[in-house]
Order: sequence, then C-alpha cells, then structure tokens
Amino acid sequence: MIHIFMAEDSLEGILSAVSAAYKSRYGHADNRIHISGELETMELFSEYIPVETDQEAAEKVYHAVYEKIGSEALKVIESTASSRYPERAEVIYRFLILGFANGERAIDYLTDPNIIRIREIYRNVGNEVCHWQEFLRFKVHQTGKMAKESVFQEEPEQGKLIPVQTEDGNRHELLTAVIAPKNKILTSIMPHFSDRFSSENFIIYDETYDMAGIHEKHAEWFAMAAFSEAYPEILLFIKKSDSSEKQMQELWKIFFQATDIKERSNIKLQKQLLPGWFRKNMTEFIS
Amino acid sequence: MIIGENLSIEQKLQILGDAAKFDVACTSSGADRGGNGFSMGNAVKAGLCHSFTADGRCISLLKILMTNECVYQCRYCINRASNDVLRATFTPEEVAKLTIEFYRRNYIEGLFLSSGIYPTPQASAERMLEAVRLLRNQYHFGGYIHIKSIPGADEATVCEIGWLADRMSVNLELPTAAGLETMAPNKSRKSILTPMKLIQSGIHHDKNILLLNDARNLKNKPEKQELFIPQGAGNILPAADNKWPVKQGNTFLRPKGAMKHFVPAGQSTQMIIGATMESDYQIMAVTENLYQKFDLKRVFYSSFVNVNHDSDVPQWQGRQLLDREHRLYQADFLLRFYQFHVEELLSPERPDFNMLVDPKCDYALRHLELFPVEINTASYSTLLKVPGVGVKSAQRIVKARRTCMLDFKDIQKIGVVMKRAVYFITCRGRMMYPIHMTEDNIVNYLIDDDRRKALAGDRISYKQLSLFDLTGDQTVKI
Repeated sequence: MIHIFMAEDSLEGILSAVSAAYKSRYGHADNRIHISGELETMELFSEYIPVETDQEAAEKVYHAVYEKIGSEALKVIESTASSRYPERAEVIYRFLILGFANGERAIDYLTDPNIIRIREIYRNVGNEVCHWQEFLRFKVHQTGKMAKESVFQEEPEQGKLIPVQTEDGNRHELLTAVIAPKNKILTSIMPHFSDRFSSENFIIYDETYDMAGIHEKHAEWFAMAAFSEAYPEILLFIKKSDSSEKQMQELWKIFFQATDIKERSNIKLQKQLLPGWFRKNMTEFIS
Repeated sequence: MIIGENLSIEQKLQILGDAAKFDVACTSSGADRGGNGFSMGNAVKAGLCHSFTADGRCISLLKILMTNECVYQCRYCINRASNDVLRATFTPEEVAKLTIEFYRRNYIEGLFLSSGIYPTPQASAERMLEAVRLLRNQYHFGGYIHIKSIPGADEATVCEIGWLADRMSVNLELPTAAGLETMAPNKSRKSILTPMKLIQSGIHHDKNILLLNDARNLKNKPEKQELFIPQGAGNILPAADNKWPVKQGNTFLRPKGAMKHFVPAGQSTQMIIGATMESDYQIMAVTENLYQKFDLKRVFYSSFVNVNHDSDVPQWQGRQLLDREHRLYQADFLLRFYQFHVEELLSPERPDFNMLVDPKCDYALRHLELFPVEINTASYSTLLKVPGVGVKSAQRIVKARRTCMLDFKDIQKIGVVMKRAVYFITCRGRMMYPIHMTEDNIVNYLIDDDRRKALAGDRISYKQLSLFDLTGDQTVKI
C-alpha cells in the first residue's frame, strides 16, 4: 500500500509533507510526496493523504536541514521547490532522507539517481536565474504629475539625448519589465536588481506564474501573486512606450547591429547561447 | 578623412560602435561590488552576458570608441589615417548618458571605452578620463568600466583612470616586435608594455604585496623581472629594465573621488591572429609569459579580417582561420585551468596546432605512456589531463569517489565525454572496450567522419590514418 502525501505548491507545503511523512511512520519505501493541484493520474492501491501547510512543522524541518545537512542543502531544496518539474517534491523528500542519514556529503552521492536528479534541477534553476538576470529588459516610463503638466516633447530634440533623472529631480520614472520564465525564479532575481537599481522604482512582471516583483526607490522589494486580477491597469500601462523610450530602444538596436562581424557569422551558436524563448521581450529582437 | 558635422547621436553610435567591434575583449568579470544603497550599479564577479551577436560573441558592455579620428596608420584598422571614412567623436557627456540609460534598461553591465589617437595619445587619454570621471563622480555609476590604456599617454593620466576603472587593457596586437613593425608602424613594443607594467605595479601596490618586499628592507637590489624566453622562439619580449616599479611620487596615491581599489579586475590584452607569419608556438609562448610575468587576467585572440582590402596582407581564410583561433583559445584554457605548460603542447620542432584533434587529445596521443588512468585512484591533476574530462567533471569525480567506487555509467552521468575519454581511462581496473593502445588506432576513433573526409579528399582511402599524417604536412599553416 503506497501512501501519497499531497503537498501544497510551495517550499513550506513540501516541508510540511516531509514532516507528515516522517511522523506517519509508514516507512519511507512506501511513501511518496506529490504536489496537489497538478495533473495527476490516480494510481490504484494507493492512499492519497492531503497535507495542510503547517508553518511550524515546516520551520522545524527547515531548521533541521540547516543543522544536519548544511546551508548548501537549503539552497538546493529552495531551488527545487521553485522549479517546474512535477517530481520536485518527491526528489526533495528522497534527498532529505539521504541527507538526514549522511549529513553534508549526501549532495555528492553522484551514483544515486535522486541526487543526480536534484543536482540537475538545481543547475537548471540556477542557470535560468542567471539567464534572466542577463536577458531581462527594462522600459522606462515617465509618470507623476510633472509629466502630465509640463510640455512633454513628442519628438526628442534632433540628435540629442533626453537628460537623465537627477537625484532630486521632479521627474518621476518607473522601470518595468516582463519575463516569461519556465521555473518560478522571480524571487531569486529580485535581490540582484534591487541591489543594482536601489535608486529606481521598478516592477518585474512574470507572465508564466502571474506574479510581480515590486521595488520602490530605496525600499525593500516585495512580490505579489495573482497580479493580473489585482492590477490589470498596470499591465496595460506596461505595454506602452513613450518617444524617449523609443529613442533609447532604437539606439540599442543600432548598437546591437553595429557589433556584427559578417565574416564570423554563426547563427547556430547564437541560438545555442541565447535560446529563442528568451527573445520575446528583448528589445534587440523585437523589430 | 571625412569629419562628420552635426552628426546625430544615432549616427555617432552607429559609426563608433561599429569601429570598436574588432576589440574582442567582452568580459565584464573580475570585479565584485555590491550596490551602495543610494546610487545605481553593482558588479558581479563572474560577469553577465546580456546579449549575443550573430557570430556568437557575448555583448556585455557598451563597447565604443571615443573618437574614430586617428593619426596612426595601422594596417588592420578601418579607421587608419589614410582611409576615407566618416569620422565622429562623442562628447564625455554623451558617453556617460548613453552608458547610464543603457544600464538602467539592463542592456549592459557597463562601459568599454577605447579611442583613436587624435591629435596625440595624451589628448585621447584625457578625453576618456573626462568621460569616466563624469560617470563615477557625478552620476555615481557603480557598474563595470573597462578602459583601454593608451600607449604614449602620461603615467599620471593612466593612473588616474586606473583609480576609476575596473579593468584596463592595452592590445599587444602582434606577438613579435617585427610583426608589430609591419602592421602598426606607429606603435612600438616599448610603448605598449610601459602602461601594462605601470598598471601591474599599481595593482601590486594597492594590494600591499610590495609591503612584504619593501625596498628599504632589502639589502640587495630587487630581483630583476626576468622574462623567460623559450628556446627557438626568437626575440619575443624584451627583458624588463631593472628599475624598481614603485612610484615614490604621487602617481599611486589615491586621488579624490577614486574607487576603493586600483583596477580591481586586472588587465587583459589582445593579439591579432593570421595577419603575420608567427607560429602558434610563438603566440602561446607570449601568452604564457603574459599570464606569469605580467599577471594578466585574459589574453584574447582576434582573427584578422582584411578590412582595408590591402593586397599584401592575407585575405580572409574563413573557416581555417577561425579553427586556428579556436585552437588557440583551447590552449589558453589549458594553460589557465588544466595546469599545462606551453612546452607540453608545442615546441619549435612542432610549432603549430594539430587541426584535426584538439590540443589536449594531441598531448594524450603523444604521451600514451601516461594512460590509461584509473578513475577511482588518480590524482586531480592526472584526471585533468584525460581527454573528455573537464574541470567540473574532475572535481565531481574527486568528490563522488569519497563515498563509493565509480563505474563507467556513473562517470557518464557526471558529465565526462565518453566519446573521447573511453580510450584513456579504466574504472575498477577495467577498460570499457578492449582497445589496442597505439596512437594510430586511437587517432582513427577520435577523428570524426567529416574531418576524415576532408583529409582524404576525393580519393577513397583504405589506409588507416596515422598520427604522422596529421602532424606532418597536413597541419594547415595560415
């Protein structure tokens, strides 16, 4: 009789399920953990046990992982929990069993298929985080009262650049970006951008998971789920570009094309390094 | 020389972005700097590649010339003095604004600024210094800045730039002085190496390395900075002069508005491949010298494209030249990550790379006495020498075998390229397939079918390929 614990789709949910699986004393060989809400073919001769997310139990497991397996293991399970693979909960469960038994070295058991799988997932999510830090493109929007009241130039002065916002300027600007990731990496890229653009207001919208990361100038960032229901007008606003923004986008495209050396052309390599699915929201590839 | 009047910013960017594209140094790595909480910018140690060109090179910086007006007459450059190309110049303000606006949109990690020489090296350097000062001190830009050191500029200017930039570089252009004489008559070996040595000593000074060897504490004269010149390589680099490099004057003192460290990301350089007749051995000998004696972080190789359509310099050889450049980069990685020395890869008797197998395989084939290697007991350095085993695979093998014995299916999962490695390793004492360990046999397996056809030409050959076929006249000399 296989006991399948149905966890909620979050790290706390999965860790609560791990806690429940240990406490159940059914024996690890007969336990599985699946994510509730995912498409599931129900198996015969299995018992489906829904697990409610218990914050306390999850924190106990989290702390135990840190103490017994190490901080690297925490990063591994956080990445895996934010991935898109349906087996992520099961793989975390198996990793933790090995980890609690063997400690820090469990991550190097490269002959165990579960360890191999969790390392692959960790690498995949880590790579995607790096890629989005590189390929995300911001758009600058003029907002605030000054923008509406002042004579906003329709065409930028011929050949000149629009001046940059100075520290105590009255112009208000908002940076927005849209990403379409495969894994749920929004919360992993926000720290990088908040550190880099601490003096900017920005919003990063995740199309796949319908989440948004929001950062106010010189403040802490936070994330919001179900964004399209809550703020549809912001999504509409994001799609527009004003003339100064268009000028910068044109300049970037000019620079991008100027770097080409025709004699060395290698489109296959470019596709390998910059896969097509990133290019939807990249300025230089939108014509 | 056609000097552009009233060019728009778009036109300037088109001209000056195109003019800088043959400087292939693209990395934004080496500087680790968090945001300061109030202004914009940070630097990531590993560097970020924000986009890729149509030929696969990474775009991480806004790579532009300050001006493409130039009084020099370098044969490889489209902007040389005698060419009739449209000339443009950025103002420091324009450079700063472009950098900031691109940076905010996450298009770039920072700025890469080079310049034509107009009217003098010092004037060009001062203009570049102005742009960097604006970025760092007025806009408080915290991102990555890579500035070319201009040979012939004042030491004080070079040092001032060093306190503001993350990386500085000066292009060696050609590996030998004779080559430089032909291709770039206005530059000299001495003028190129002077800023390189200056920045190197500045970095040492900043890191307080010299405190340990303080001139006052030494009774004897400081050790001469000897350059090892390999036998038969010819007069590649001159021996350093005997002067102790620390400036007693004000050049290394930190000026107002300086960043925390002097050139924190180190130096790099570039050599042009295929313009002159130097062998691969000469190029790699210079590379090794630069890494060991001058503490460079990277050496880049740029394939020569005959942009000026001169008849007495080589035409574009296409695939062959790009393959040669690829071999040079492979050898460069072997030097830096795989604990190889140039003497192990090449020699005056064998001065060029084998075009059909990569340098690591070539080494393994010439030293079959070292193989096969037992995966479960070999040291890390020995594992690195096995074809198909990279740095990551070697590290994983070393970690994994602490817990259990590894077999072939395990190391395949680890990431070892079995196609190449299988001839050189044993697991638990056994080889995967019974292999006759001679050079000729293994060479045949290693070369894939495409290249074998290229070697045999149209003739159908039943003779097995031997190592001699590859290393004899078949190596393509550019």
